[in-house]
Amino acid sequence: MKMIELTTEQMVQRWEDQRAIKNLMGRYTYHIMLKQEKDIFTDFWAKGENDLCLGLNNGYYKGGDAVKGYFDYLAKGVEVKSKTLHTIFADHIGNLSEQEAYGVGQLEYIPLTSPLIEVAEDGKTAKGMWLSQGSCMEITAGGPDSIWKMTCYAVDFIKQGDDWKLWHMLVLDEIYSPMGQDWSGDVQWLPDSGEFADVAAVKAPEFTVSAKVWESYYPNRPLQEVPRMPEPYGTFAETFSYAI
Amino acid sequence: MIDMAWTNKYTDREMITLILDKEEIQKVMSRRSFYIANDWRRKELDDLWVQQPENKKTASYGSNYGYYVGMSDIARWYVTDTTRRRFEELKPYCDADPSIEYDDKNLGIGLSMFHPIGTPYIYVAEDRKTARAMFYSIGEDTYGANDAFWLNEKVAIDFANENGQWKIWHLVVSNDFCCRPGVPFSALPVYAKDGEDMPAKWFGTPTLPMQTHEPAWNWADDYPAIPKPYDTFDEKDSYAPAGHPNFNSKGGRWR
Repeated sequence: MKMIELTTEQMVQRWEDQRAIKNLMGRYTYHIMLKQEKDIFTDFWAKGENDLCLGLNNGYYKGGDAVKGYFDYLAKGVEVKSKTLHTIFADHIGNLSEQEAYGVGQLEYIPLTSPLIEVAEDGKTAKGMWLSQGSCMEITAGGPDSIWKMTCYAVDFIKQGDDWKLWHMLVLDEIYSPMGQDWSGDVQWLPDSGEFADVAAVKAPEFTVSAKVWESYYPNRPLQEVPRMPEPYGTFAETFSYAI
Repeated sequence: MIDMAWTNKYTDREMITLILDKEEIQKVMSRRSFYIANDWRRKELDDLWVQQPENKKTASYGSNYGYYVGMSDIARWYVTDTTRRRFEELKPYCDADPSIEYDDKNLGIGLSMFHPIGTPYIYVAEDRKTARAMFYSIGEDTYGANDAFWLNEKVAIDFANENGQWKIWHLVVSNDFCCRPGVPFSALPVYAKDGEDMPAKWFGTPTLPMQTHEPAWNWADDYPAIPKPYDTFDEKDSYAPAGHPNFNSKGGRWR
């Protein structure tokens, strides 16, 4: 629907929807930064929809239980990494309670840029894509490491009441590589260390559907196109989905 | 706090139109970032750049090293010359593995180009016929094994409103640094040795060669400058070549 056919109120609503979606994704990145993964499923994902879907490089989590399971795993990881550092660095942070030490040593930035958002003409759904040049200071099985991340996000949103919610989401890492190294070269990760065995023991749940959704960069990789970009649409049935 | 001067000047519809114009302009540039990732160069010029003949004649693509002027010159470099380069990049893969055909379907093996754009700064002219914007991009180009680069760049654009659609008219990608990952930027020589200035090498021989921005001295030359509010397009205050403070229009070769 061309702008010229919209009423002024409809144009304002269109803008407010786009702003609300940008704010939702901004809040999502701050939740990641503040290590609040334990709240992401409840606070951000749609309720009562039976086709929630989260796609990562190597597969999809389909359905609310599977998507929640992934964020529970991330939260478990934060907890275990915090406890591990709390123990290793007792001299420095041993005086903190477990709650105060939650998230210690872990910092992830995923600034979202290049927003490409289309809100459906019926105002009930929306689609958005972003690129992120981010970084994370992570506690790996080998210990603390710092990592560059280049990521593409592709999201379907659904409006529930007055709020926009995540419905289907792709989080695709183009580059995930240690800092100080060339991601196009022979990348060396820290070897596993016994001190961080508890961290290594926290495993991601199996994908509902394993698939090569996206391959992170490697020198012989064929050219890989980003997910299909959002196009203006009337109602969700008329467009494509980022779910499987 | 509401700017009463703004609300008194425009009707509600004019205000929301202006706001949505800026969102549409952002979308054009976001789409360009995704097209770059796909190496969709021809499609970018067809979908996102000016299409009206008089605008195509004066379109320009600038960098630190000058400008391509006119859509035919832009396309010659951005599409034709770059496609030739992609074939040169493909050849070593074919030599190493004969099962890889030397064919355009295999172009882009080993290629990654992510150029996110952030920090949007957008003004629409009072007459709504043009707009100007600037963004900052921290991105990367990777061409194969041990051939990756960080690229930090200002991206400045004049847009033309063609039948209600915002189209790229003059674009300047002004590189502040190009540095291989894992190499401290501060360890690089102030001036790259001959043949090692990668952005210069990639830009080829533009229609109008000139030094537009000297990254050795960072932003001291302040080009391209951030946009300011304006009423109507003036080439001398644009991101076209004539808008560069050192531009000399005498004997211009591209008209």
